[in-house]
Amino acid sequence: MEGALAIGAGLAVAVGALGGGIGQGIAGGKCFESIARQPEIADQVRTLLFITLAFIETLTIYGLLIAFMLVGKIG
Amino acid sequence: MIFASSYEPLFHIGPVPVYDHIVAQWLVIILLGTVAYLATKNMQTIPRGLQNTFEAIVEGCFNFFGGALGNEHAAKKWAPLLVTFFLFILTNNYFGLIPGAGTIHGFVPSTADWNITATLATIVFFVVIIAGGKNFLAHLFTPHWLFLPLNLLEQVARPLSLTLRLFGNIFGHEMIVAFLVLMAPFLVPMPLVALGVLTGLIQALVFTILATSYMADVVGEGH
Amino acid sequence: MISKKWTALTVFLLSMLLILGLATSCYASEGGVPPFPDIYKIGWTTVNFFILFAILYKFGYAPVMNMLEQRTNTIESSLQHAEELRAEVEQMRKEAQTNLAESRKEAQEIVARATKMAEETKNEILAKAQAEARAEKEKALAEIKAEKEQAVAELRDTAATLAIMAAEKVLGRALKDEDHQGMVKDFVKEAGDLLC
Repeated sequence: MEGALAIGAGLAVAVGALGGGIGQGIAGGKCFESIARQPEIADQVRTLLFITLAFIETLTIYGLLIAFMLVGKIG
Repeated sequence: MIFASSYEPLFHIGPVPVYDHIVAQWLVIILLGTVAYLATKNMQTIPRGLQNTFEAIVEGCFNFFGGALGNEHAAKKWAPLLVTFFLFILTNNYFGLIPGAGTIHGFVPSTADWNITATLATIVFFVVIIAGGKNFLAHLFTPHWLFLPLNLLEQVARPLSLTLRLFGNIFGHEMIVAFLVLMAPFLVPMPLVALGVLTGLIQALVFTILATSYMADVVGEGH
Repeated sequence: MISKKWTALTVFLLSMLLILGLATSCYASEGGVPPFPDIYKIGWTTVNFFILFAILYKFGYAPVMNMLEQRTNTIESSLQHAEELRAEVEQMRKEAQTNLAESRKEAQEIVARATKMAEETKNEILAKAQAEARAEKEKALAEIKAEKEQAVAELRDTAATLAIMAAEKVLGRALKDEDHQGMVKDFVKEAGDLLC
């Protein structure tokens, strides 16, 4: 049971971080592309990027929290 | 233990327990209050020194969040509250970066506790309702009354996501730093602590920007 | 394609490493996530937040906002003041110009008047002088005339007297031719002397 909890916790963060990481990479790359194309809107794009990253981050953080909860059940 | 932020009360005032996180908030209040008091003790028309910095910060925040509200009247009314959210969360986040934070009582980032982030998110929830008034109710029925359940779900999800985002980021960061300190106490956790500076700022900014955009939804475009 | 696969693998491995570390950390910190909900923490946070809001409002925002407003007012009023000053200076300049033009005109008038007056005076003096000269001349002429008349009258008297004297002489003795001639000469001479 404890082993299953540990594996579940690991998977929760791993899968969450996987998707979130890829998504953030794409978002960041697109942001840099658009800034390189139109440097004059860099500020707006950057603000939007941070908000977007925060949204994506949230999903990863959900996984992290689930992992914490599961790990807490182990002990 | 390195990560000694105990969930036991630090002491009691009468029957009311006081936790590390609450002491940290008091420290934040004292710090911000002192800075504000010193900066505005004798205001001069031509600012210099602390007054200049403080004015620049306050005015910049006012312009940023007030501008995001998009409604001048509402901005004048609600920007102070939003700026308070920002400063409170920012300072609290940075309390985890002080050397010795976690081992000394009172120096924990109080946003690493989801009771506290939930409280802040709930305050945002009610403030949005109060700021919206009739507009808030109208907003629930847009674009059609059929969307009411969806809108209600969104309203409930908002404080939840605010809570979990802030808490998860700060708590996760604390955990990682604690673990690294446990493994290698010197130099190795430094990049993560440096990242914590960025995380603290971005999370405070994101929390406040989201609160501002929730409010901007309901205060309307009236000028 | 390969690079994407490698990226995904790296992310996966790093995540595993992260969760391993976190798990250890949580074992170490014996707590896991904080208990929820804790009504005291919630209450304290609410109170603390609004205390902070009140303090910041009183010492932070209100003075800064007042100061900003005051500064705006100061700038506006100084701009307005500058505008007023500018207008005043402009008006003064205009006035000075008007004054200058007026005084120039006046000066010209004065000069013109003075010139005219001088001309008049000159004319007057000239006329007077001429008139005087003429009067003098007339007077002289009149005097001359009067003297001449007097002289003529005297001459006439003298001539009459001479005639009487000559008649007396003629009557008194016989005249020779030579005598006659000499007498006439004498007479004329006398007469001329008398006349002159």
